[in-house]
Amino acid sequence: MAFQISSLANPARFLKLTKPLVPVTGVIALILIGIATYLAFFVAPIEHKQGESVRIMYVHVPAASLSMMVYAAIAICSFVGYVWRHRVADLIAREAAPWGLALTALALATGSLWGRATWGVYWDWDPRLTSMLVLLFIYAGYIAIWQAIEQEGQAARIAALLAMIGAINLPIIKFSVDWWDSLHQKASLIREGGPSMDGRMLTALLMMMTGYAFLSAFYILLRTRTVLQHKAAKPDPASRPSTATMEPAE
Amino acid sequence: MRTDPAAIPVATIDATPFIAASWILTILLLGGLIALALIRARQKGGNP
Repeated sequence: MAFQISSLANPARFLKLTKPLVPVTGVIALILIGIATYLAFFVAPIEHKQGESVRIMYVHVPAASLSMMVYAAIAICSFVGYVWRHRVADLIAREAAPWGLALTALALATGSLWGRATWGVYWDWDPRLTSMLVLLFIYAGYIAIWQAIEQEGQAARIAALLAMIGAINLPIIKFSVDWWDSLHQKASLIREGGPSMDGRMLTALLMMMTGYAFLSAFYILLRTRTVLQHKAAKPDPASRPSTATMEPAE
Repeated sequence: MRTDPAAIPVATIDATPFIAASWILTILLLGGLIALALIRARQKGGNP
């Protein structure tokens, strides 16, 4: 594992290894999201209490789940970058942040629309909603640090600290519906006794979540590769010293 | 004191505009970000 991480610290090797992954993840994402959209509208039944508004769930739940998974990936990459000065890990974390921010904003917006249709209100200071709002602010703060600090190495270290500390919010989001009295429904997928929803709904939802995961991988790899290729073409002398080099992959 | 969720009348309004808004927002936001990333990749030489 340590060997794999250190080998990926070489940008040239990272570029070589990830080159075939970009089109593959993109195509898989498109296929999965296309099928899941069809299933969500034409196969999955309506829910007996929510009615048609359950169709919002197929974009809301994947956005919420992936916003947390992308943040977890950022926190892990930040840890690797902070401890081993892995420049590529820092870059992956930085390039993933706008995507995570968009997913979080989307989860809040679609959840708000669902809340209006089902609860009758756009917003409630509910523990789940509030902790997701905190995640949005953490993402915004993380991106702001990268934007505000000119020296890349210093920005990477401060942003990594925020990302690692901010990871405390992930279990708070996940368990908020169990720890506190919450208007938000409890877990329907990862729970004791297995998922609690109709099989057709579950298939559509899991397919959409997998599609979102591949789309996230596509975006993050594409952005990271773009930055690395740009850096390879125009090396930045102000960049922090790193164990990574631009030597060609073996 | 929080309202008992069971006491809230659910799905009493037409949800179609909310469903449409949710899906359109998703397509625009994620599609827009992907499009920007692809344009940036082309401009800076990171061909996908």
